Amino acid sequence: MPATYFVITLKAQEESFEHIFSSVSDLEGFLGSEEGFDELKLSFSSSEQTEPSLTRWLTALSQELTDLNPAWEVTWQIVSETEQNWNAQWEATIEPVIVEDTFCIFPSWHPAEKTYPVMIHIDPKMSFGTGYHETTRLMLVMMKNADLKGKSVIDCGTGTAVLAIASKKLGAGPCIAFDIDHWSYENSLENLKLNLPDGSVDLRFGGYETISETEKADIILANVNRNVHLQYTAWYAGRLNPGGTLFLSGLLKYDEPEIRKAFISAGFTGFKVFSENEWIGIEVRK
Amino acid sequence: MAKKITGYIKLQIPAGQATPAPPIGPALGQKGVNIMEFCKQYNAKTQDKMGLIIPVVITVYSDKSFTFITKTPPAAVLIKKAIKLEKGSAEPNRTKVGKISQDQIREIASMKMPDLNTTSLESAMSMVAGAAKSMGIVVEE
Repeated sequence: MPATYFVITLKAQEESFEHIFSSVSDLEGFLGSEEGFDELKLSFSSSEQTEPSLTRWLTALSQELTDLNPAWEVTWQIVSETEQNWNAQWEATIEPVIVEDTFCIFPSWHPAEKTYPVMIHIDPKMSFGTGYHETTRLMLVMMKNADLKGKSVIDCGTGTAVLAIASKKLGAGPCIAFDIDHWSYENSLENLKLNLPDGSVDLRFGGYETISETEKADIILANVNRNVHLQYTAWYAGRLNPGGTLFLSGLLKYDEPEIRKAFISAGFTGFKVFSENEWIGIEVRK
Repeated sequence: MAKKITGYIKLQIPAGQATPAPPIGPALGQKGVNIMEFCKQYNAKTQDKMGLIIPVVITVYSDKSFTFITKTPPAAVLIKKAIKLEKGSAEPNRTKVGKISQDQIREIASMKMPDLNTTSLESAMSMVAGAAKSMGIVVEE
């Protein structure tokens, strides 16, 4: 079922915004706000907030602001918004992305003009992994330099499933991919069908917990972020077969020392660092 | 030739928690910006500040590319965090809800300096102290 959100359009004097941020920052389900001229749009997850409780908060806030400054007036409107593919406008503009003259990632609406060794058909729907971002390209560069033939693979936070598909097309053996985001899960299903209609990727909805302790792989792919990598250092060590390789991405250059320290402590060796602009990808061995 | 700017988007988002949900999805999506790329970059660059709301100004260019700068959290948010206060006073002149030390004021002022219209730490401290007082917090001498 699509998620819904409450969006409050709050008309108030700009001078009062700081107090509004201070008050809203502790509310459950607060997702963020957009600022306009004497107007704030405050967004909340409807799974963590109700309209009556937001109305109570707004009434108290209004009184608080008037007490602070009688000239500060507040009016508001609450609307419920259902999620949709907000990224559709950008997605319609994407063109094939070529990485290392080996991979070609292309959407249905813009086929590639020529054939490359690894053709990956991705129709993204509000999911990460189109090849447009450095972190995806760094993963592909590291994968190209590795021998994936016959190796078992786990792809963590698969997004559009671009890396899981790439691994299979590079000759990988059994592949499990998972994502905690339902748009990514649904989009992965679609993209896997476009590329690997044999159903050779085991796609799971959920996070790291979807992989049991007994499921191990020769290769783990993880394009997430530094905090997640640090949180799951022991998990990676536990799920990799001896001699296995871990490819990490979603990292900025200044994340390297902390990542290196944590993964050395967890027993990883053989660090290789790849970079593109301010982003890095790291290959390590168990 | 410099790229043409087509607009600015001002958001306030919890650090490290950007998702395509509102406000990010609708705000960036209607300008044709790649939401997923923004979320990846924003989360990577703010994950050290988890628990704080970070203002961000996104510049959108005619080719739908974007750049963004993050600012420091609102002083009121930093004050509440510094003294572990749940909420400010509804009657700041009459009801005091906490105390803040000069060291805490200085620390917040130093953090806020890049976003304030002053190069003087004393002036910045005075602004932060004013914000604290308006929340019903006693500023210790």
